[in-house]
Amino acid sequence: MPHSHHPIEILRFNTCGSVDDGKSTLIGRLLYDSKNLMEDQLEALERSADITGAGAINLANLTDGLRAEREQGITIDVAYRYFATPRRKFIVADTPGHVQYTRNMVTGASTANLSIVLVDARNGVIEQSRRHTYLAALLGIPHLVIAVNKMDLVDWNEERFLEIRDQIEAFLPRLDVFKDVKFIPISALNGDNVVERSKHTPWYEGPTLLGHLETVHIASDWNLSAFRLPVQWVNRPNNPRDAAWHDFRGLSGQIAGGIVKVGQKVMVLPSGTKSTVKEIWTYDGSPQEAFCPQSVTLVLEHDLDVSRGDTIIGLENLPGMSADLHAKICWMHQRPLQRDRKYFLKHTTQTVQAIVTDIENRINISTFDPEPEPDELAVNDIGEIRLRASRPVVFDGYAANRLTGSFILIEQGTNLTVAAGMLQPPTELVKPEYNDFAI
Amino acid sequence: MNSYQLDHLQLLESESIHVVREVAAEFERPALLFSGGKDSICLLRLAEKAFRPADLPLPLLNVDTGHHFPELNEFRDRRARQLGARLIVRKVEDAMERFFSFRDSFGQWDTKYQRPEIWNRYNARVNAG
Repeated sequence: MPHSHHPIEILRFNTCGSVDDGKSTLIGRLLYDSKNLMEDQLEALERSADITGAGAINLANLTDGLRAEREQGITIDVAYRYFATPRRKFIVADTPGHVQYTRNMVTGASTANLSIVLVDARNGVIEQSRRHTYLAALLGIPHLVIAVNKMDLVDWNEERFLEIRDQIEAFLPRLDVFKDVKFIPISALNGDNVVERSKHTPWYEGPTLLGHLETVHIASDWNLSAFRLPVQWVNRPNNPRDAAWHDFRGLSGQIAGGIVKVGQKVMVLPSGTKSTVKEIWTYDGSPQEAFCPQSVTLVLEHDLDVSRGDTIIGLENLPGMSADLHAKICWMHQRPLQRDRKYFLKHTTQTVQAIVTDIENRINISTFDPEPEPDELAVNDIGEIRLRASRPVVFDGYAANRLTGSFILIEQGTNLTVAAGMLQPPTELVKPEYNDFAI
Repeated sequence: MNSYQLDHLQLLESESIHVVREVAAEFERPALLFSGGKDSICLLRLAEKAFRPADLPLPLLNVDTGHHFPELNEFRDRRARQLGARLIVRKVEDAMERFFSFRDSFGQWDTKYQRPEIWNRYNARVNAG
């Protein structure tokens, strides 16, 4: 559905920082300055400001208050907050607390376009800054902002800002995944360079934080180069009230990569059977082409045997297909991951069984160094493992496609989600002539 | 800016259709809650977008609070008939911040340890009992 003018896009981002780095204040500032608060919230805030007599509004209380209201006494791993400007809609993944931080951040970051890592200008780059940046890279977040906060407490000293930038830039090459990295000197408390440009930073020529969030190029964050449709649902009207649908057989799913066109040759994996796209069916009409991440229903020329869990692909930029998988995982459960244990592995729309054949390393996320051959991975550990699945999995490397390159592990018996996995690129690709004799 | 781009509503709609189809595919006895209000009218349209041209593979579930206007029940019945959907009406009960939340065999909800929802991979496996 092409647009003649700018569509309003959604940008998803998360904020990471240690306690007291000003995370809550920053979110409060964005909500307040972009005028996204309800009137009753505003009144309560201004009333409390008057009572304390300080006159200033406590923005951290605002964020934490919203969080408490949402939680109502229960523990929420990620609270999503929404605000908008005339240019974009924003969804902020607010990961509260310090308990289970890695697990919660991984959850909040898994769908983010952008990550804001807060660094306290007084403390500079600390271990946490490295960890947060590492996790943003691990989760393949394309855009990174290093918000150097509390600049007012270091007298808006440009040198201090540059020093912090140099320290981060020194280790960024080891992570090597971000499409862009922006360093912004701010004071979340006073609002400098958050929504309004600061008069204290004549030496800073970049955008304000909100200005960057509104304009950073996210249209190409989705993979548009390799067509993938994990089949979610086979659409077959059984007793159609309209006889015209009697022979309809559609393959429904959300396009996980690339573009598909009517008349295009496609292959169904793992069977390797091929056909041509006859129609792209949607409730709102049948377009000539569709693209990631649209939800569509494909009708093929041939009546192939296709079911949920299969993947329909284009014949260019082929994926890997293997029962032997190599991945980085974040372990999320108190009961550690051990070799030779069997789990359910949910990848796109298929669930298979998988045995952990090797734990190659545990990654020290402060130094980024791998510690080889650990006995197990404990909760919040990141490591590289090898798995053997009960059926071949059609996949891409996580760096190429976050949807076809990711999986979760589910513990058998309890059915708990115990790990998030990011696949390494395939060592071998499906061949275009694979199963040419089928049909 | 290329033309292969969704605006905010198209993106949310596409994600919603994905979730609705996952529910229908993964759960044993799914139902679509339908109060007749604006939210569930929207949800119902999303379900149509997910499953047309076939019929809806899941019934509509209406919770009758006993305080409904007669027009509401009329609308509810008429809409279900138009769609050829199965309608279940039951009396009263009450959800949060995630796509799926699970109850144990006693109907209890452990809010302290909910399953993390990562990417769009929802763990819909229900424990026995």
